[in-house]
Amino acid sequence: MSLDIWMRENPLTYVWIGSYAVAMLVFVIEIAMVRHKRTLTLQQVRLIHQAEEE
Amino acid sequence: MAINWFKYSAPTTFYGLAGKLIPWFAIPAAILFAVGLYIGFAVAPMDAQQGEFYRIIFIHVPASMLSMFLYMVMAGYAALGLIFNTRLSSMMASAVAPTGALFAFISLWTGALWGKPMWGAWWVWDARMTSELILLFLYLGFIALHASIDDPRRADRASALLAIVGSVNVPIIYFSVKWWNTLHQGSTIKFSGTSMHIAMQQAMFTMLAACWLYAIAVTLARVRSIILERERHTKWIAELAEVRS
Amino acid sequence: MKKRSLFSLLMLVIRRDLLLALRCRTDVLTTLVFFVMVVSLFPLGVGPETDMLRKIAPGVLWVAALLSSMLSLGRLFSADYLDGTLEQMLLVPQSLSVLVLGKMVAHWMVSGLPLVLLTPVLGLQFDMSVEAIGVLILGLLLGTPVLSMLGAIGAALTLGLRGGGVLLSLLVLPLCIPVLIFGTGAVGAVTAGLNYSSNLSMMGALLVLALTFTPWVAAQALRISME
Repeated sequence: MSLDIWMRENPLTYVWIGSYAVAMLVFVIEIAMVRHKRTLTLQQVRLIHQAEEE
Repeated sequence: MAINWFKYSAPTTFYGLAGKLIPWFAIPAAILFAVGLYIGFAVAPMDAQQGEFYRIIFIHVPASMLSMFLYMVMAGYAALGLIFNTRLSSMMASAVAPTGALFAFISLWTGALWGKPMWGAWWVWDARMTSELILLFLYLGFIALHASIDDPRRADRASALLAIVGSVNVPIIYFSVKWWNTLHQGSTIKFSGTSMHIAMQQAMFTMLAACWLYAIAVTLARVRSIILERERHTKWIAELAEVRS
Repeated sequence: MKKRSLFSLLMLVIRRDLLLALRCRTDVLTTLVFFVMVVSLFPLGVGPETDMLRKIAPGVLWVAALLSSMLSLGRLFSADYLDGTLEQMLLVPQSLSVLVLGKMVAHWMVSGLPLVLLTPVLGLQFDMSVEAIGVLILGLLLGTPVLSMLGAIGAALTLGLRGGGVLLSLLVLPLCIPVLIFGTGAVGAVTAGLNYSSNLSMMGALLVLALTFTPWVAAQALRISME
């Protein structure tokens, strides 16, 4: 399989793209999800309290 | 001056504390990641048997260790919440779960990528990898159960019980999978040589510390959203700066 | 109410659940048919080569047993929950754990035990040797109760939830993996001519552990779900 050959010739690239890039991606996605949840929750809470003020 | 340990055990006070603490964990985490990667790639030498491929361990091993430790942390918080009825403990358990599950995923992914050059196959049912997979299932079960129950109190307590049962089972599962693996002469992902080069050890510890700090930072951030959501009808939330703007 | 010893209470619960199960024979029988069907699917899927079938037989039978018991576990508490009996059970002065244990035993008798009785026939379908079938049956006898007991915890936790049976399976299957490993390992050992007693002793140990802890844990889970 050509992937095997490419892998043996470019071990560092394989390690970088395959593992570290994926790990970084997971971290970035996780952080994005946490921020997104916070934005949504804040919106929700604002709506609730605006409704209560009225 | 007596330290009031319980001051921050209420969601109201913890919210603010968590917010202040996040940068103290996030920034060192980023720095240590950079340092760890530098040591791991630029300083540590090539391995005799595995060439450059072994460098995957600098993310694989910390991810595995963290996924296992975080499960215990999650179960610990869950148990506290179940026994002492403290809401914040249950919120912390829910906050830890996704991070732990993602670390388990990273561990499995990087383990497979390590396995391919080592054994020629992406997945070889190695005892540790199989246990890691089961751990991921346990995490997903916790998250799924919590998400399926509408009443937050019942959700907290039910998933807490599940987490405790799971944590008791983890050693049994690990032992039985290990036994199963040796019986079937499976491969074990091992490290070449008896001792690791000092730079490899340094890289490993740095990355491990970086992952821990990252996990704490993300968990604190997540628990703030959980607190906001659970306490959304309270007055103290209404008076928060970010809500009033 | 007449004062009952814990043992007679246990017998009462077992008898009641068995009676109820017998009245709804279809539920019990459909689970058994499911078991047979799943087992029959594997040769259809992988081919009729007897050597291979003999090798996969213990695994197939065990996985099928796991899946069938997951299926039938949904029923464990739901009927009583829906008609209010479960609430009454929670108020009983005697130990709830005993009641739960009774339900677990009855569940096993109705779902696990019939599987064990069907195993010789299915084992022959896979051309298993007599010794292999024998060890498989012993393993299933020791292991299916554990499946019922662990499953009861899952059933108690997921009581009345939308996700239902699938969620229950998701929660319980990882916990059942050691039983699966030792059960199939025993058969593997006897086929290879090795000693299988260590596997069976491990299963015995798991059974004792389960008997000791799961009724209480499931009772706690019930209290959590019913509040």
